[in-house]
This record gives sequence, C-alpha cells and structure tokens, in this order.
Amino acid sequence: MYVAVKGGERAIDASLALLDAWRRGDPNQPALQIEQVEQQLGIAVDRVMAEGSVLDRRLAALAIIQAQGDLVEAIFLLRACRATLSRFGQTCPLQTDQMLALRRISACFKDIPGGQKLGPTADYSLRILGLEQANANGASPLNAADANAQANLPRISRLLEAEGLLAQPTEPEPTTPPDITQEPVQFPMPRAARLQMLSRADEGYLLALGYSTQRGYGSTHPFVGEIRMGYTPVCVRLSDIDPSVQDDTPVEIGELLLTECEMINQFQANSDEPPKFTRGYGLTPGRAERKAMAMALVDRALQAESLGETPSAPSQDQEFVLAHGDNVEASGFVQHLKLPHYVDFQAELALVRGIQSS
Amino acid sequence: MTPQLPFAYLDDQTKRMIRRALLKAVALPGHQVPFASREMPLPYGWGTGGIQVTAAVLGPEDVLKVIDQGADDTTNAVNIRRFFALTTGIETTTTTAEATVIQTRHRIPEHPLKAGQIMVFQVPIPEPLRWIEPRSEETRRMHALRDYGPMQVKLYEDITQHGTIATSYDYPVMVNEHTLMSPSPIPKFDNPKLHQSPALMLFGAGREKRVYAVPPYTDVRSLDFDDYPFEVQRWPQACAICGADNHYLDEIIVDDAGTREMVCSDTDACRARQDQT
Amino acid sequence: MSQPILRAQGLGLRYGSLRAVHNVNLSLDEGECLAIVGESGSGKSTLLSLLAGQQQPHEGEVAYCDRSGMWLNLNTLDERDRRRLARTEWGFVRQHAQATLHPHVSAGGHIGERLMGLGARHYGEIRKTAQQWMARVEMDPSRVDESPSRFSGGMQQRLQLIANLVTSPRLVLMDEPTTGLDVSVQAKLLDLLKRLQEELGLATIIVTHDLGVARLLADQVLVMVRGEVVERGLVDQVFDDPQHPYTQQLVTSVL
Repeated sequence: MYVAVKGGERAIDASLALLDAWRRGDPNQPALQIEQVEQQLGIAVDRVMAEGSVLDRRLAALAIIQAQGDLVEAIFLLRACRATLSRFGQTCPLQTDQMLALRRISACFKDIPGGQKLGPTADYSLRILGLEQANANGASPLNAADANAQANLPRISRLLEAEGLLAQPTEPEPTTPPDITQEPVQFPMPRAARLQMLSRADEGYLLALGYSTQRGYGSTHPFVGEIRMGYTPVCVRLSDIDPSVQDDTPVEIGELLLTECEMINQFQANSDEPPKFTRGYGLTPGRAERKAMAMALVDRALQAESLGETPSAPSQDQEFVLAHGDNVEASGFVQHLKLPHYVDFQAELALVRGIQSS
Repeated sequence: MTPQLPFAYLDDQTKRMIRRALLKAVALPGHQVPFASREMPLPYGWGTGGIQVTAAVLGPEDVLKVIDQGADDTTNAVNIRRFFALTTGIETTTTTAEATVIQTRHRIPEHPLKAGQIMVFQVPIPEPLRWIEPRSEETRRMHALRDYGPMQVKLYEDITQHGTIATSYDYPVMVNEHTLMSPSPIPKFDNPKLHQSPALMLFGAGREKRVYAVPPYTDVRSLDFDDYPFEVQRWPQACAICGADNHYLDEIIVDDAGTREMVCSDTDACRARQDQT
Repeated sequence: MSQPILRAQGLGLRYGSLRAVHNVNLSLDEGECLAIVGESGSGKSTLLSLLAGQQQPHEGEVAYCDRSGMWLNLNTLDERDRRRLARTEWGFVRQHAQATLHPHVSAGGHIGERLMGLGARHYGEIRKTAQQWMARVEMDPSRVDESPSRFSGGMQQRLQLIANLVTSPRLVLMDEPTTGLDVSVQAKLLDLLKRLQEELGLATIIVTHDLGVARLLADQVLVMVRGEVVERGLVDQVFDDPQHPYTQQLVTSVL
C-alpha cells in the first residue's frame, strides 16, 4: 500500500547542510577571506559585477565565495541582492575621454598620440602553468602613478570622424535613455536598451556570437579602433538625488575602473553616400577586456538593419541575441527542468497511451 | 550578516509597479501585460513571476497556501512557502478552503474556490502562440489583430495526424471570447475550473516579464472543433488512498516490477476526503 | 465585367536613390486580367507588392473597391482591415510555393487556414471543403492529409492557389506563378488558371516575364522598363503591333 511521501522540509534542510559543508571544504584549510578573493581573483570579481549589475567589489567577492566559485550562481546572488536595493538617482554620463588610462592600445595605427600603452595585460604572457612571468617588485599594481597612467588621451575614433571616415549613428539618441531594469523594453529595442542588455549578458555567449561574426556569420570585418582601461570619474548632480536642492552642478563622487572598446568595421556603401567605417561599442567594469570586445562585435552586428544590411546571421537577429543572453534567466530556465513535472508528464502518458490504443 | 528585508522581499516601488501591471491585466482579461520583473532569491524558471505577483498582493492578514504539482510538500512548494514565511511572517496553510492567496505550479486545487480567494499561477511561457511563432514582435501583432487562425490550424493538424487534439497540458483557451491565453502548464483536466470561477486568477511569468489575469466570473473556453470537442482526462481507477474518482491522479511506481498505483495529485483534497470517510 | 475594382495613380517607390517604380497608373475592372511584363529589375514585382498593399508607396496611391462597393485607399487603410481583405477578398500567389507552405501542415490544413481564421470550427467540414477544392484543380482528394513536401512543384502551386481561392476572393495577384515549372506542367497550370478565372469571375494581375503567359491569360498588358510603364493596351494589340522599341525587342526575341 502506497503511503504519501512527506518530509520535503527535512530533506531541504539536510541538503543545505551538505551544501555548507562542501562550500567550506577541508576545515584544516584557512577559510577564504573576502579581501583575498577581491584582490587576487579580481577578474572574476569584475565579471560578477558586470553581469550582476552591481558595481561593488566586496559584495561580488562575497557572492563568489558563497557560490563556491560558480560565477553564474554568484551573478545570480548579486542580482537578487540588487532587487532589494532602492535606487536614489543616476549619475551624469561617464566621460571616458577623461579616463586615467592604465592601458590604451589601437590595432588600427602603429603609433598613436600618447603611445601604445600596454598596461597590466596577459596578452604577452607565456601560458605556461606555474611560470612566474616577471619579478614582482612589491609596488602596488593599482598605483596609478607607478603605472604611468595618463588622462585625457585623444580618442582614435574622433580622429577618423574629423576626416569624415566614420559614419554617424543612424538611430536618433533619446534624451532620456530607457532603463531596462525599470521598464520592460520590447522588441525591436533602441540601441541604448540593446547596449544595456549586452553589458549584463553572459560573457561566453557574447564571445561565441562575436566569434561567429568573424567566421562569416554576418561578417563585419572588425578592427580594434581603441581599447582603454583605467579610472573614470563618476559625477552626480545633487538636484537629481534630492529634488529640493537647486544646485545642478556635477559633483565627483568617486571613480570606476572601466574597460572600453571601440571596434571599427567596414560599411557597405549605398549609392547616396561614399563608404564609411562604422563602429561597435563595448564597456565593462574592471578589466574584463574579452567581454568588452565581444560586446562591441555583437553591438555592431545588431546594427545591421539600421545600417540597411539584410540580417542573415544569428548575431544580427536582435530578438534571438538579446532574449537569450541573460545567464540568470537562462540558467534558471534550463535548470528548472529538474523541478517535478510529473503532473504534465502524466497527462502526456495518458495522451500517448490513448493514441496508441486507438 | 542577516540582511534587512522589506515585507515580502520587494521594496514598495516595485510592489506598486507590479500592482499597476496587475490592474491593467484584470482590465484586459487574458492580455499579457509587460512588467519590469525583478530577480528574486529563487531562480528564474522556478516561480519568480508567481512569487512577485504574490509578494505584490499579500497583506499581513492574508493566509497563504503554496502548491507544486498539486502537493503542499513538494520541495519547490516548501521552498516558496519558507521564502514567504521568512519575509512576511504571515500565516500559511495547506487547506485550500482556509487560504486567501494560493500560489500554484501546474495545478488548480480540486476543492472549488470561492469569491475573495486569489489564485496565483507560475507561468514558464506566457505566450500561447510561442510554438507557432517564436518572435514576440509577430505574436504581439497577431494578438492585436486577433489573428488566431494558425492556432486552430495546429489543432486541425493534431487531429489529422493523431486522430485527436494532442495537447494535454497548457491547453490554449479563449478568454472572454476575445483573447487567446495560455492557462500555464496545468493539465487540461483543470481548464474547466477557470470558466466562470468566483476567484481571481493571476498569472506571473518572471523570466518572460509578463503578467495576465482572468477576473472572477469570466468566460474561459478551451479551443476545439465542433466535431472534436474538448475533453478532460479520465482514469479507470480511483485514488488508492481516498477512493476519489473525480480527482486528477498521479501514477506512482511502487516496486521494482513496475507495479503502479494511482493517487490524488492534490494532497489536501485527498486528506480531506480521507477525513470524511 | 465593367465595374472597376482596382485603381493606381502616380505610384512611385524608391530604394535610396534608385527608383524601383515610377509614375505608374492603372485601372482594373472586375473579372479582368492584367499582365505586367518586363525583365528582372523592371520593378514589376515591386509594383505588385504596392498593389497588394504590402508596401507603402512614396508617391501616389492605390484604391480598391470592396465587395460592398466602397472605395478604400490602401495607403491609409488600417492594418487590421488590410489583413481582413487579404484573407477574404484578395489572393496572392507566389512563384515559389515553398515560401508559403509549411511542411508540417497538411494540404487540408493549408486550404482550411483562411476558413479557420474566419471562425470555421467543424473539422470534418473543413476537410471536406479542402477535398472539394483539390478535386476542382485535378488534385487527388485522398492526399488531403499529406504534407505538401510530398507534392510535385505543379501540385504545390495548385495547393497555394486553392488555399487562396477558398474564401472566394475577387482579386488575385500572382507573381510568376508558372515560372520554374516543367513546360508541360506550366501548360496545364495555365489552362487551369484560365478556367478558374472565368468560372469564378476573378480579377487578376499577373507578373510575368513570359509573353506566352500574358497572351494566354490577360486582357490588358503593361510593359515595364526600369520602374516605368513604357507601353500599355490590349494584349493582342501590344504584342502584334508593338510601338515602343523595348516592346518590339521583347516581341521579336520570343521564338
């Protein structure tokens, strides 16, 4: 005789206790400190901040520890935390022109005003596991003076614009950008909304899509116009924070370490205008350069229709790209298949049995 | 560090935003209203839409029931009930008749609902036309123009290929003879409970960012053909525990030889019937 | 036969600086057949899509007289009304039937689709109606449950055609309906089109590069070159006594 199963709560409690034990691991090993993760796993922290959409290094580090290194899970933790935070205003647009750059390169020109500044990059490291790449001399890597940081470096794209070689954006810019976290944006989306979605999209997903554009699926022949990484000032207007305050002078409240990438791509001329370059744009917090580059490639691909190109590749299909890029949504829905579905399965069983018997 | 959380996790602005969306939904029965879904501490796909709707409508005096597959003690239902207990402190129950708000995944309780009760459905894919047309731009147009022919064609093809309509759950319905709606993946057995119900039915899809509603006493008709009318599932057996022959039954495999027993999916209804006899 | 059903005045459409269609006027009566003839790039398909209200012209307008006798401006028509007309009073047949036929929908489903869109709800009757139409165009009615992917090209075209005719449209637009089919299959299909035109009193507009098709089916013809109409008139007159050098060239190049 079948007795109905009870004890779901006890099972859950036991499962969570096991999870805690696995998270801690061997108790003889020192427990991870937030500061260690924040400092020594900094690029993981950058990724979690970008896709979690919360630019707080400590919270991101805590999320990584709580998620046992599962970055998608950490991103989810940070997003859920974000949902409890109240918004009290927004900053002035970030002026990345004013960035104090620790790294700044261009693949389009051999030399550029301000020079090709390599900065802290793994690009030239030999990927030999265990090999020390250079002598650590004890200087803080984030000391801007030691790193020869420079501010107000001229922008490569502006030089091309001055020559009339760079096309202007075809979509008009809204006076107030939409906010995908405050209102549901529907397809087709304006570019500002698309960029917001791309900035929090899964890095691996964008990497694959960007890669596909280089292999013939919606080719745009990209070049790195400029990559810059460094500290960008963040300003607010006090009148935006407190409406009773009249003063609307921008006030600097801090700085963000950002990586910015501008891709230059070739344009198919139409009979009205001479051929020009077009661009893709990527921006991420911290040093997530691969993400910034992939984002720029996909941004350009999604401009296909507005540039008069016929979309033919997945990377150019706005709804396909943007509806599936959020790994919090994707992970949730893929993994929800683990939930009991036996009621619907039972319905299918009855249906299939019924069809077979008739 | 135990974080300080607002009532039902969401801040007031968010709750107000969801309620505004729900009001629109109630004013347009069956119509999908977009809303700015928030990440919740449970993953997308695990009921965040239903949770946000419940969080928006719960008050301190409400009594909450949460079921998954009809049962109060499946792990997902337990988890969601714990979430609300943690963030609201309100009374919870497993008895349908005592609840003021019932959040459900994939079933409607057997016990008839009454006026003043709110059902909150967890919805994975709110768009009934999704499997016919993947693009939301086009499905929006189809709804606006009430271009539902392709859905009827799909049912026609089912009959052509299988001799019967091959949809057993998430069976599409016409609401108010006006809007095509997905009732969420409830078995078609439960579809008739939506028609002219005294309760308010709210549907939340967190990941897809849509809410919709069926107000009390609204016509809800399952699509069919005149000569292939809509039918609910029936079992030759009764529930092995309580003897009910009009409840939705789950199949349980009880031994290695594959012996099966049929028991009520709705654990509260099963218990209530047992108590009577 | 003498009531006008469709009128176009000063129609024009540009793609950038390219004029795809320029300054086109035409008038079509009930039951009349108009052929639009030209080579590829002449703008004839673009003109057809303008006449069907599928694209908005940059200049000029298209007006259609509906079943109740009301003249409707296609440029200003509500999308809802345009779709309704497209499903009840108009038909559109494309060159490649595969573009409109789904492999997972049976012949019956395709033919019944318009009826179901209008609320038809009896499976048996829909299927029977489909079979009747199939018989009418010499298709085997027992194949009503088959996928069109199993049909020959000529059969697929017939299927596309009757899927349009099932709601008794008054105006049917066809874009190269027989091009790409075997010669003998073309001939049979053309005979069928002619017969149906007469039986059903259809007004038709056919885009074709094939003068033989125009001669067989049409009353009037428009000859197009680079977006403009260079010659027009009764089909026999235009082809027997072409005035414009392009038409002359067209006629003499046909063996």
